Amino acid sequence: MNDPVSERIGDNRHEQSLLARVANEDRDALGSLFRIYHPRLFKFVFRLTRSFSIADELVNDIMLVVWQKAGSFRGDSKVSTWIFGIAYRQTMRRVSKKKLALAPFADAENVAVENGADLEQEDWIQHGLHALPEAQQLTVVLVFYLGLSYEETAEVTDCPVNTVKTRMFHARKKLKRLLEESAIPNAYSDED
Amino acid sequence: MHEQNTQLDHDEVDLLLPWFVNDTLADAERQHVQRHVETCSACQDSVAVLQKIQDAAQTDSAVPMVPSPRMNDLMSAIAADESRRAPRRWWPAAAIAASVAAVLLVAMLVVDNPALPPDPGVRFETATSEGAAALMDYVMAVEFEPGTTAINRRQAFEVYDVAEFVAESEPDTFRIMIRLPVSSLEDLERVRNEMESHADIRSVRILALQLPMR
Repeated sequence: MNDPVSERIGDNRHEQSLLARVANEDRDALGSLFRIYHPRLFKFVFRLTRSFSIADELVNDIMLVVWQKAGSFRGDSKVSTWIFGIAYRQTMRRVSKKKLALAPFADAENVAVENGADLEQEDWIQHGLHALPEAQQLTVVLVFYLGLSYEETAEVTDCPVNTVKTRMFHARKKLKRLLEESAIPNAYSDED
Repeated sequence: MHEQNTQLDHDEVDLLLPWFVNDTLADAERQHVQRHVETCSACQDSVAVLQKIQDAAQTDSAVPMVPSPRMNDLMSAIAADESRRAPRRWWPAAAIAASVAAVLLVAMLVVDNPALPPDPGVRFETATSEGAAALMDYVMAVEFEPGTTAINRRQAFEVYDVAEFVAESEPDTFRIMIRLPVSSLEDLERVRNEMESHADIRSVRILALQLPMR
């Protein structure tokens, strides 16, 4: 199975038990959850904000909300989906408050590549993603970086599944159009 | 009609391709998509591009080294948040000062002072006088051992029939009001020592006394 995140979030049953203890104000349990989620949350927020200091601060804000709201977790989704839902909303709130734009998906010059052809395609993908509207860009990050299913993506972004599918559909259409405009051969062929 | 159904099927599968690529489709859906992709070149091309997008998403080397989690900052933020949220059930400072004055007055009345001759014309009432209230309310600051869990804290308070407690600004310290049937200051001290002998309690300070209304 393709595991998009370097360590897929672990045993959900264990995390549910930790979250239940957090709901009872167990700070040790919160510390354990923090250690499990910190790397992924930091990378997720950094990808969206491209600011080390904001990502560093936001991760703590996210865990504070986990502490405050642990009692409201009903177990009808995975703990990871619930926590990344909080992460998504906190990041969007900070981005809109500070009037930040979502950062480019990656800086092309920082990408290590092995040959020129790879650089062209990856460059295309990254610039294309940067040009997407926020909601579509986020959907792509959630699906291809965090590896969420469409139901999980809908839960994290608090919108219907059909909306998620539609956003992804439009994101792909835009990426295809950008490719055609850049006239890079063989990177994408026309669909019927 | 058949062509229409085939197109509908293609469109439906096309929407699901990103999740086919990230391998999160349910088994039945994945098998349906797989069967269609095997016979549709357009979908095969789409899968190839989506895989490149996924590769780009996962190999973004612009993400720096992840810093260590700032656990102390998180715990401080929680403590500050709890202080902000604690309900203000207790009396304002002036009322506490009045309670402290009442404690001193009671202490003075309780202490046997042989230098003062009893004045037959004046009748003093003390905490231990006949007819005095059997129970009195004491305000105390209870400091727990660091790392005491919320459950153990509640259990410790339940032993003394304390239902409400408020977090103080000092770490692990809570203010409580506890009703006690003490008959003297020595008795009060005995109760305080007993509370401090609890495994999870580090110290107990008596802050004030509330004389019950008759």
